[in-house]
Amino acid sequence: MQDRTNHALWAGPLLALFGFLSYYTIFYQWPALRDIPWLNLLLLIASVAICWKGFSQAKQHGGWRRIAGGAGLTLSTALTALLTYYCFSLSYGLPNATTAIQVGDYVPEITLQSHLGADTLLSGSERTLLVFYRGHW
Amino acid sequence: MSELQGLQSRISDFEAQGIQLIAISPDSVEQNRQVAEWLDLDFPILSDSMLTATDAFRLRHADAAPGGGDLPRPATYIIESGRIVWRDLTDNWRVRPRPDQLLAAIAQLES
Repeated sequence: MQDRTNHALWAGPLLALFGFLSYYTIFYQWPALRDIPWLNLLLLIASVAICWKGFSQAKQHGGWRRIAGGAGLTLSTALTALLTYYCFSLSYGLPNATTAIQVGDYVPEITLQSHLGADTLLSGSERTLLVFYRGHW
Repeated sequence: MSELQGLQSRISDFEAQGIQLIAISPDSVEQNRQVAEWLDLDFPILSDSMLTATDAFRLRHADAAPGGGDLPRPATYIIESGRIVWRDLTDNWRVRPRPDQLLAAIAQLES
């Protein structure tokens, strides 16, 4: 049998890396892709399939191809597991919110400095949408 | 960052409901200025670097920052005449209320 080029050997791991990293760099921006990361999980599952195909072909040749195929399959499986763990377990790791102030409570009289340096009272407006966000890092 | 950009994209809808937007972050005034400039925000980001407001709302999330240090947990409140009339404390830090959901909640408060 001719020694055919095994594209799956590099395409699989490449797709796995893209499928993992693009969640944090691109697709997190759209809530429909962020809340449930279905697009990234599809990409990752496809990458596992391609890596599996590459590995199966490489096994017949042995040598470095077999090692590269095994490494690709391991990488794609690990990244799929990691994103699943992050989205469905780790990101639920918030403290209990039972003590947080709730509907009906008065807003604490607190003044903070705005990004323009203006002292701003939290309850200074008649109607306000107050968003606590975790900062830029 | 998507959360603030999402709010900015619908700011005229919030203003039409008489709602003023305020974001609170644990970053410094200078960091907030850069973010507001970068995202072209028309609403203020307040600096809660001492976590004064975070503690007053009892939202402190200990050891949450990547390098250690505390952060507020994500939280969204609607305030009317100094009282809280609606809140969302997500149970997953990736998932925040979307502008559409907030506008729907505001419309429902009025009915």
